[in-house]
Amino acid sequence: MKMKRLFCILILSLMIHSVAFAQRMSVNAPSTVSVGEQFSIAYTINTDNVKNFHTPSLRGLDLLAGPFSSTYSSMQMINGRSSSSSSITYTITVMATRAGTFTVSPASAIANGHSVSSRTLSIKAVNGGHASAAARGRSVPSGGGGASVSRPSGGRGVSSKDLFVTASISKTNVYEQEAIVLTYKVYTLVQLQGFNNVTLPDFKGFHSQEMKLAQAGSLKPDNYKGRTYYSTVLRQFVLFPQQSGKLTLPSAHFDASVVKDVPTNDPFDAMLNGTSQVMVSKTLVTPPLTINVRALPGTRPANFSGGVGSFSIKAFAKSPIIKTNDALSIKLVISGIGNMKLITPPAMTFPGDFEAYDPKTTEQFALTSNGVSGTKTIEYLAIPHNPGKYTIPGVSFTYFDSRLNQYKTIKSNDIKVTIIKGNSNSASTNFTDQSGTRLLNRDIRYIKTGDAPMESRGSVFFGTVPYCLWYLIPLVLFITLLVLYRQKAIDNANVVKMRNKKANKVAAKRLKNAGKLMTANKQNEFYDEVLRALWGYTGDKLSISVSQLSKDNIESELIKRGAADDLTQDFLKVLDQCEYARYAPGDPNEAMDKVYTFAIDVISKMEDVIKQ
Amino acid sequence: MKRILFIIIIACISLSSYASSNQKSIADQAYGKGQYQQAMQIYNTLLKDGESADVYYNLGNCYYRTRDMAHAILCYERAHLLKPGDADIRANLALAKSKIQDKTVASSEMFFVKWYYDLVNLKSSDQWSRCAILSFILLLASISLYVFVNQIRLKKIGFGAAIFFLCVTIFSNIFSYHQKEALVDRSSAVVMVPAATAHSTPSESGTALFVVHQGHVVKIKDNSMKMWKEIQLEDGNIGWIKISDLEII
Repeated sequence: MKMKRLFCILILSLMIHSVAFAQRMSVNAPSTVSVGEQFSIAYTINTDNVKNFHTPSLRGLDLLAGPFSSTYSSMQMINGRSSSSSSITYTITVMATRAGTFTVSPASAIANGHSVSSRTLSIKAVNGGHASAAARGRSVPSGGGGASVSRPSGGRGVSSKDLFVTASISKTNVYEQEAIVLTYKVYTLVQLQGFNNVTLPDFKGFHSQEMKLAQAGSLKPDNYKGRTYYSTVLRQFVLFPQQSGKLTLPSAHFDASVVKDVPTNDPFDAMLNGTSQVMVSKTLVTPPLTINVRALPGTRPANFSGGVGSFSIKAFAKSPIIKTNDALSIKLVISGIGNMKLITPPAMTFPGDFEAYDPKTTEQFALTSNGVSGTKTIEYLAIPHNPGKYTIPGVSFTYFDSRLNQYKTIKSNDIKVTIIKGNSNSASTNFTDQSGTRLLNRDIRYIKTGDAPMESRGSVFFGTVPYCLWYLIPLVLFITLLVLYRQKAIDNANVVKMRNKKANKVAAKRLKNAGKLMTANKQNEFYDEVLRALWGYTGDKLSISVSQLSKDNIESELIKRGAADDLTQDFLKVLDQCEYARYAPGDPNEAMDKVYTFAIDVISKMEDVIKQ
Repeated sequence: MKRILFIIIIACISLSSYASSNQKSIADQAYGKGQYQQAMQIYNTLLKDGESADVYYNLGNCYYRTRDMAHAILCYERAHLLKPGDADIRANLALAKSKIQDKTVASSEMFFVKWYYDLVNLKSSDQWSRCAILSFILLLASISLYVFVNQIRLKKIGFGAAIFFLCVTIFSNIFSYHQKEALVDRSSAVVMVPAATAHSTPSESGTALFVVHQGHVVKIKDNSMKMWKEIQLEDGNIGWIKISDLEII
C-alpha cells in the first residue's frame, strides 16, 4: 500500500516536472498606448502554485493599481479520465505620462518552486488618442429606422476616440458683456459609469452663471465627426466677458469611470465566464478655448450702467399721495435680456429735504442662451418731511444695445407726488428742533469767467526798477516842493509859534502884574487885574469883544468849543470868587493866593482846550 | 511811415490779447458744457505763454472733474501762489486735498504766527507793492499837509496820517518781500506718482523712510541736487525723493 502511494507520488512529480518545463509566464499588453490612457498588463502563469510575484520595474510608466491576482482552474472529465488545469493571472494597471518608447523589464515569480520570468516588453506611448487600434473602430452611420451606435475600439484601455468631452461656445467673437453659452458635452461608446471628479476652469475674466439642465444624464445617440455616439450635455454655462481682448478658457478635467470588458486569451475562459469586467478610470481633458472679446464701440458714456443687451425701464410710485413722514416708495422696473445681474441700478434723485434710503433690489431671472432675461425691480425709499407737490425727475438708464451695436439712453417718466400733512408733530408744524441748513453735498466752486490777463512767468513788481522809481520820483518831487516853498513853511511854523507865545504872554503879563499887586496887598486892584486877565484872555481866545462878554455866552461858547464841563464850571467859579472874595471875611492874603493859583490853573487848562 | 508802423504794432498787441481772451472764453464755455478735456487743452496752451491765477484755477477745476487730483492740487496751489487772497481758490484747494489718500495735517503754529501769515496771504506780492507805493505817496502828502498848512487841526491830521502811512509803507514792503520770496523760491512740490518712497540718502540704495502718495504737497528743503530733492512733510519727517516723482508748484 505504502509502496503504491510512493509510486503514485513519483509518477505525479514526474508529470508535474514535465509540465513545469513547459511552464512559462505569458504577458498580454498593448504595444502602443496613448499618453494619459490607462492600460493593463496581464501576466499569466499556468499553475496555481505561484509565490513571490515581482512586479517589473516600470521605468517611465506609472503604476496605478495592482498587481491583482486572479486564479483560474478547470477540470475536465473525458471518457472517465479527468484532467485539470489551473492558471493565475497577475494584472497591473499602468499609465504612460509622456510620449516615448518604454521598456518593461521581465516580471518574475516562483512557480512550483522554479523561478519563471516573462519576456521584456516594449511599449510605445504616443500623444493623442488614436493609437489603440483606431482602425478597428467601425462606424455605422445612423440610418432612418433607428440610431445604431458605433462599436467601441478594442484594447484594454479606453480610447479617447471612444470617450471624450467637448467644450463648445456659441460665439467666438463677442462684445464685452455679451452672453456666450459654454457647453460641456460627453460622447461615449463605452459603458460610462459616471464622473468622479470634475475640475472646471476658473472663468477668469468672465462672469459665469450655470444653466440648469432639463434632462441631465440621459444619453442620446448623436453624430460626431461621422461616428455615432451616445452623448449628453454635462454642464452648461452662460458667460459674460468682463474685459476686452483675447480671453482663454483653460481646459476642464473630467475623471470618468468606465466599465471595461477584459478579454482573456484563454478561449475556454471566454466561453465559460464571458469577459471579465474591470473598472477603468480615465481623465478627459477638453482643449482650451480662445474667445475674442471686443471692447464696446464708441466712447463709453459717463453714466453707463454696465448693461449690454436690450432693456426697457418703467418707473412708478406705489401711491401718488402720501403723508409726511411716511415712506415714499418708487419702483423702477428694468426688464429685458442681457447681463441683467451686472447692471448697476441708476440713482434716483429725490428733492433735497427728502430723507433718501438705499434702494432695494429684487430680481426675477431666467437664464437663456442670449443672457439673462427677466426683470430687475429697484425700490427707492424716501421719507418726505414737508408737505407740497414734488416732481421726482425720471432716471436715465444708459446701456449698450447689442442689436444696434451702440449705446442707448432711455429715460423713465417723471413722477409727480403730492405730500400731505401727516398727523405726527413733525418739524414742519412746530419748529422746536430747528437745525442749520443741511449741506447736501460738497463740490468745487465754479470757474472764473471773464478776462484773465496773462503775466509772464515769475514777474514780480517788488524790487524792480519801476518799483524803485515809484518811490524815488514822488520823493524828489516832495523835496523840490519843500525847497521851493521852504520860506512859507518856515513862516508858517513861526506864525503859529508867535501866536502861541503872544496868547500866553498877554495872560502871563496880566497875571504877573496881579502877582505884584498881591504882594503889595492891594486887594481891590489885584482882583480887578485878575478879572481883566480872565475876561481879556477869553475875549481874545473866543474872538468876542470884551463889552459883549457875559457869563452866559462864555459858558455856551466854551461848551461849543469842546471844553469840558468842569473846566467851564471852574472858569465861572474863578470869576465868582474874584467878585466875592474882596468882601469875604478871613485872611485876605490867603484868599488872594488861592484865587491867583486857581486863575493860572484855569487859564493854562483853557490854553490846552481852546486853540484856534 | 513811423505812424503806420505804430498803428500796426498797436493793432497786433490788441489782437493778440483779444485772441487770448477769446481762447479763454471758448474754454470756459467748453467747461460749462462738461467738455473738460477740451477746456483743459486750451487752458494748457494759454499757460504756455504766461501764467494767470484764474487760468490755473480753471484748469484745476478741469482736472478735478476728470478725477486727476494730483494735477488739480498742483494747479490750485499755483493759482493760490499767484493770488493768495482768493477765497474760491482756497476752497477748491481744500476740497481737492480732502480727496487724496494722504491726510493733510494742519501745521500747528502759534495763533499769532498763523494770523501773521493770514495777513501776509491776504494779497499777492504785487498787490502789497502797490499798497506800499500808494501809502508812501500818501505819507508824503501827509507830511506836506503838516508842513504847509497853517490850520492847527489839519496839521494834527497830517501828523497822525503821516505816522500811519509810514507804518503801512514799512509793513507792506515787508509783506511784499515775503510774497516775492514764496513766488521766486517755489519751495513746494506735489507728488505726481501714485506712491513715492522717500529714502534716507539721495539714492535708491538708501533706507526707505516713508511713502507719500499722489497729490501730497511737500516742502523742498534742499534744492541743490539735480535728480533728487530733500523734502519735508508737515509732521517734520525728512527724506530724499526723486525729482521725477514730484512737480514743483
